[in-house]
Amino acid sequence: MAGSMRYRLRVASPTTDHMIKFSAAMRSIQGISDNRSYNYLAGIHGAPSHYCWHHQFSRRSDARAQVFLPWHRAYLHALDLALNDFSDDNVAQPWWDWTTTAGVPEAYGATQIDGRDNPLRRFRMNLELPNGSLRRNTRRRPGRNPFINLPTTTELESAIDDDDWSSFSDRMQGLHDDVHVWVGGDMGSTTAAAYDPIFYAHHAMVDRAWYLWQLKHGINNIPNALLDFVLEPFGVTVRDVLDTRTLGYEYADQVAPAEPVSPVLVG
Amino acid sequence: MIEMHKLKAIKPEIEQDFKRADLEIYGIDHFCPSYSGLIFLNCDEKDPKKLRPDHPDCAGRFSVFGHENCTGDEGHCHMTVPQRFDTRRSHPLTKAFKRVEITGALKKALKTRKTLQITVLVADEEGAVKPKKKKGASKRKALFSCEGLQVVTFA
Repeated sequence: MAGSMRYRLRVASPTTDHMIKFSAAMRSIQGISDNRSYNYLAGIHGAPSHYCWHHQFSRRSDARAQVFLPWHRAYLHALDLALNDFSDDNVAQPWWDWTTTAGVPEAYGATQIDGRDNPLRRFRMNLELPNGSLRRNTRRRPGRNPFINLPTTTELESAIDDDDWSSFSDRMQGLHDDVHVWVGGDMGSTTAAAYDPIFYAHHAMVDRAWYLWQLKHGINNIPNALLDFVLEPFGVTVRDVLDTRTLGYEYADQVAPAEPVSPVLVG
Repeated sequence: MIEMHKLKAIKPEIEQDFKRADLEIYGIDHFCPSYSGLIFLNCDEKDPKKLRPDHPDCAGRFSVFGHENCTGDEGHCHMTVPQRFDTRRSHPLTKAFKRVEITGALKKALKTRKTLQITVLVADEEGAVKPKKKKGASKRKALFSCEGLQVVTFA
């Protein structure tokens, strides 16, 4: 139902209802090339626009301008909106629980789904850069680094238990970096990572961790100095993205739709 | 590629009854491929092939999500220092900060020695030990490079 709350669900088998709807919308935005396209949105994070926020600071903010979590929340929201411009199904992006999945989920690894190329497996980047054009499919090299495994439930829970915003943000960024390095290939480069569709499922998991942290420690639990910080290029502030419900989504385990029926008049 | 960085031993004046200890690594250069690092305390092993996350002297790990290559024109990835009146955000290659909790490992390391030697072992996604350089070969930039490290303990 377009316009109602969107519920982000766990990445599941490619044939489940929410994955089918999400994949269809991803296929739609991957098939266009204007400023509503997947290629355009992916270019906001790394090349060519480089808006992503990881270690930067700003003179407009003290508190180290620690906006890694808010910036990426605004970024995922932009993808949600783009997907729903091409779908009537109130599509919500899924989260990849890397603490319980042994590797890349089937929905993101399968070559084909229902006889068609899987839009979640890879994406053909189309970039004009000063040092040449970049036109190729995204690549992954999961599990190649000998020092890193996917984060564990204990590590995630320990971070969520940390009641200090700054420390929690640093720890989540650390776990986030682990996953980027583990997936490898283009996911291991800030420049190209967002062109890989699994980037968004990974960041939805990071965003979900912040959502769970907020439920435990307070939605507005963030330094005041960050509240009016503008998250470029989305035109929203940190304050605007604190409550996921004001952005129209929440994280859920399951949604069981009930079929509408004709009313039975009693009496 | 695997690199081993053995730091000069220090004599930390640390009380043993601390509740938490962190290793802070600041000024990390991330204009490089992504990599993961393992921290070892007072580890005498010289062969990097024998150092893995399950080694008894391993204190923790960290990962660096690297920028990899420059995709811009000349000067695009040259770090600029913000000047007066420049309110733009800092350069995307602003050096990174990492904190690794090392509480148990530090207690163990200081039980038997008064000095502390930190070893940082880093691997990119190839994970192979870096071959010895041939004479005349161009110098390859190290993956791990930072401005400093410090051990912080909390009572």
